[in-house]
Amino acid sequence: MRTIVYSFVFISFLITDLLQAAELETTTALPLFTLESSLHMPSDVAVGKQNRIYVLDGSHGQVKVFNDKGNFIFSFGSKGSGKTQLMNPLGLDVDDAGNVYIADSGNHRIQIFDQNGRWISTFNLTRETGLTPPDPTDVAVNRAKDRCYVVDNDNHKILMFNKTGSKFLGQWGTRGEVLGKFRYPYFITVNKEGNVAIVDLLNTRVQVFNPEGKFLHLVGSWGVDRGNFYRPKGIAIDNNNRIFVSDSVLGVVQIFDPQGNFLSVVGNKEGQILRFTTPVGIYVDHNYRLYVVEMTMDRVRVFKLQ
Amino acid sequence: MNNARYRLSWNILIALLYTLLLFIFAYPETSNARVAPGSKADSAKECAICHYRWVYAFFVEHRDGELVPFPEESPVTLEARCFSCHDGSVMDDREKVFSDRGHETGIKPSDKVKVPEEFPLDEEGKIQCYTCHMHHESPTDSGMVETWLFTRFSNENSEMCKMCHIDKTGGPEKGNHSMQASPFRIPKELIDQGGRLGTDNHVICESCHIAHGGMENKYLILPTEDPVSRSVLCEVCHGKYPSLKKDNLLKSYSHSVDIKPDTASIPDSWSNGTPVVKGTRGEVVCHTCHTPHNAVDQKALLADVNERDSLCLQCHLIQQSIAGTKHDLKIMAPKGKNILKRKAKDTGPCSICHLTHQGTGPFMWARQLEGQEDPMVGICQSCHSEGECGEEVPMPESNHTMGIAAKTFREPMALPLYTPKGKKDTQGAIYCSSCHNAHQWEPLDPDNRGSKDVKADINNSFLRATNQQSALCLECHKEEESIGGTDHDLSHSAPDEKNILDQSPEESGICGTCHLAHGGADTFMWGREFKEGNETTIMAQLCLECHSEGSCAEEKQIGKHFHPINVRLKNSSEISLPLFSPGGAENDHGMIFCSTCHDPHQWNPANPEKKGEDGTPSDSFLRIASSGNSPLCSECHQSQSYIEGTDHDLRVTAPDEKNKQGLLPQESGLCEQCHAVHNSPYQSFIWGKNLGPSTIANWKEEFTSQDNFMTGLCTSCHLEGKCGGAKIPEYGLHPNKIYMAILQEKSDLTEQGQYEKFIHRFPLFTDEGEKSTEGNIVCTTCHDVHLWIASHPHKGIGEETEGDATNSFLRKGISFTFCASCHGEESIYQYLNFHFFKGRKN
Repeated sequence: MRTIVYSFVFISFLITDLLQAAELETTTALPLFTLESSLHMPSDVAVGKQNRIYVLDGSHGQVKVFNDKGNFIFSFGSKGSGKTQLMNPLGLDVDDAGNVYIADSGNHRIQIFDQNGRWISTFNLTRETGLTPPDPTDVAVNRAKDRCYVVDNDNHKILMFNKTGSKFLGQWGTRGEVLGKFRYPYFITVNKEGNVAIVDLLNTRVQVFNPEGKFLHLVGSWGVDRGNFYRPKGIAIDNNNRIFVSDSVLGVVQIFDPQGNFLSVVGNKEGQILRFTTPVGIYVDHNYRLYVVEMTMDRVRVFKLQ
Repeated sequence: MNNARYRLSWNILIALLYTLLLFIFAYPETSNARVAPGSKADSAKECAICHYRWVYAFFVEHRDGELVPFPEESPVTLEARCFSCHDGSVMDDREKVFSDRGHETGIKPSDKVKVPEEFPLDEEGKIQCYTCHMHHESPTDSGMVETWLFTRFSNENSEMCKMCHIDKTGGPEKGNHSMQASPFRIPKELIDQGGRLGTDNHVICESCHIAHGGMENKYLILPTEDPVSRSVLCEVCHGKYPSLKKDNLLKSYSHSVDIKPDTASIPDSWSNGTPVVKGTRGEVVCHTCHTPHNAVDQKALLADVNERDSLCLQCHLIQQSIAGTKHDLKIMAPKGKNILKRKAKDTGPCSICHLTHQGTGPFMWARQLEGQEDPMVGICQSCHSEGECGEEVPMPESNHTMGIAAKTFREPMALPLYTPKGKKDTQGAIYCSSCHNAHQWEPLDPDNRGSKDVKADINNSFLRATNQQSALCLECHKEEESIGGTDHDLSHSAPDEKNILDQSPEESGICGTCHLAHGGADTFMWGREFKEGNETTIMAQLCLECHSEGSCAEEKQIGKHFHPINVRLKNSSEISLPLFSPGGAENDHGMIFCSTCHDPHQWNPANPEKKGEDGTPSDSFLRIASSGNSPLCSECHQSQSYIEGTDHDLRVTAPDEKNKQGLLPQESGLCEQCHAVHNSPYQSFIWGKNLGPSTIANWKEEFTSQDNFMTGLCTSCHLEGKCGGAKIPEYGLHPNKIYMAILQEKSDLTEQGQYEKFIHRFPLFTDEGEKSTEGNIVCTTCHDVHLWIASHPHKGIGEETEGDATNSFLRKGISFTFCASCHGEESIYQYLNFHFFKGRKN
């Protein structure tokens, strides 16, 4: 009987190991250039009109703008709490008109600038929350629904506004682990259909909701293997609705299908996993360029996806 | 065998079944990672959120992850792990902890720090985050890891800080900043930056220090070495002027901070080897002399001992040369006391006169300044006055003006100017210390300390520079420097002349021949004797001291008749020349004196470098040349300047006509063709030409008067054979008497007011040339000799011109109303018969 058990165990481990050793699928990303230009602890990146690259240089309270060749063009914003200033901003997005939406975390508000960095408007979030001041860590524009979503990190909820922020449309989420609840939601993005994908940081997952906030499905889970997260941070969705998620501790960017099934991990042309140092905000543009912000390296690396 | 074969087959079957089950349940778990959400916290995961190596694959399966290799380091509290939440995703400490300086990690504690066992170091004995922080303590009721914190012990009153940093405790007795003291006020600046006070509002470690997000390398809440911020840490509580908070008037008199040393030289280390702290650009800061921890001096927390001002003298090297001079009170006044009642013999050389934070006046003055109107003067007077230690050399009543800015000075200005509170300021004012350096007897030889009996002269006297050739004076009086080599430089023109101190020009310097910084007259610090019996104002006397009979400039006198002085101008606000009060002060509404037109320090107004002896209208110490169109005269006599280019400008009609000085019109200038400012033959109109006759042979007797000065003015030129000989009245002049009977019969000027108004426009003159309402009608009653067309006040065209009744220098209104004013309707008949050219009858 003992022999049977030993055989059992041996063969099962053998087979499991064989399965686990199956080669990890990678999606090749060829390096194009790196954006630096005196960035200090940048957090997010987005691409707007004329393929301008907007990098949120949060520690400086600025947005630095580059052309599609990676050359610095100009910057806007400054550190502070004035009308056109920013205080430790974390996330940004660009709408179809090229306007730049910035989650001005330290000032508890959303700032909107035009594509040339001219201030357009501000919308404050204090009226939407209770005792805890709002902590907007990211903002995403829903082009399909003409509205925008704001992540309130400290209050573990998502706020929904019309596109200009003048009208509050609703909110969802509370602190917790069950579906639909969050533990420190961080970055957010919206796919072509208007579904909203939110990084649920300490629950180590991505939750996908319909535009009204109804839970649809999960992406990823806790761990260190394929499809797992340890500290999911940045999220992006490409033209094919593939979901890209960065992990700042594992130092990788993984790719999932629209239903949340693991597809691959971003790698180099040799098929090895591409390693990043503290990757946070990411972006995939219509040319299948992948932008990865490496916060502690004070840079943004740009790749061409194959 | 069969049994064995059977057993093997059975085993293989079971193994395959197991494998199948494993494949079904395990593979999807690892391949596409779709998991059912948990309904409650996964306790293993909760720990592994920080304890990276406790992730199942590492901790249980002890294998690499598919995405990452097995972690070699142990570690929960590596900084990177902390940052994975403190990057803004849970807390945003990008700046506070991970950008700014904070309590260091990854280093071994220094010998000064005693880390108790309760604060774990890593395997290499280095400080890590977890040395101080412990997230397993004090869990919140939510039970979730991200809100657990923080320090291993309560840090109330900075007790946890003190557990390691024991050398920073113990208060002043141990050379450390007191932690018993309470600030005078709640230091809002500190609180706003995250600083804290103790439970009784007393100072604690965290009042000044902050473990994360601080400044400099001491984790300070505010900078101590950045004067630009103007909010340096010490000043928040101590103010910029410590110890003097209670007296607003005096609080500014403390040792300067946040400035670069001027005459002082800060060493790199004190005599005890302690490195000297300076501002970011080498400025003196509080920390330069004081140190809040491990101070040598327990009372003032000084960085080095200050025995008899030894600390002061390490920076103030130059000031050490005061020793042995007349300002060394240990020698001159050993019993003299400062305001702290400390005697000179018991103090160092500095603190008898200066107290770092308890001064009574500028320069941290340590002596009594009560009753002094101007503290910057008072500091000198506190010794140099009756009853004080410097009473032998009292400050004279009359001194160089103080408290005023230097108008012109050499660039760069070598002498210091000061604010009334003693701060050096290039835009400041002149005070005693501008010329005197109280710490150095002889500027060219700092080692010469003089002695009690040495006579002061221009080479010593605590002057900042030797005053030979008045070099010191000329530092400020740059414009006056051009006097050198002129006739007013007495070393050049009168080397034997002496000032009231009996100094020759060589002894006194150029300036000292006429001016004395101490002891001269109030007016221009005049340093020469005034002649007895001269009763005119002092301003008039200044020049006459030399320019009079028997004096050094007797050959350059102004004569009996000269341009009026001591008179006011109606249009004083329109002129740029200086006017003066009789006492000498420049005054916009003052009077004309010699110095209005003359600058005695500059020979040629157009070229200060030019020197000369025989004056012309272009130089002669004039402020503006009077040659050419006489711009100097035009400053005041603007309406007379319209004579230029008319027939009365002799450059037009008589270019060869010389004036009394023998100058042609081209040389004399416009005005001096007819007038003489000095040495005029006549006081009236300071007429500069010989008078003509009062009547001419063919004039009818009833139309002239004998000895009429005013007629003589015109006939100076309008006379046969003279330059104006072609323009002579043929039969005589208008009767010069006013016949009131005619006026009353024929004119409207019957009321007194109307008459006076009329006479003001058409002035009457006495035979002597004085304007008077009782005077006579003369040429200038009808003519304004300086204006060709009365209704058109412009200069002439520069060519000889034939006139008519509308011009011809006639006064305004004369052609239409003047005659009728007196003669009424009869004036038409008079005009047609006597004046109208064609109808004129003999």
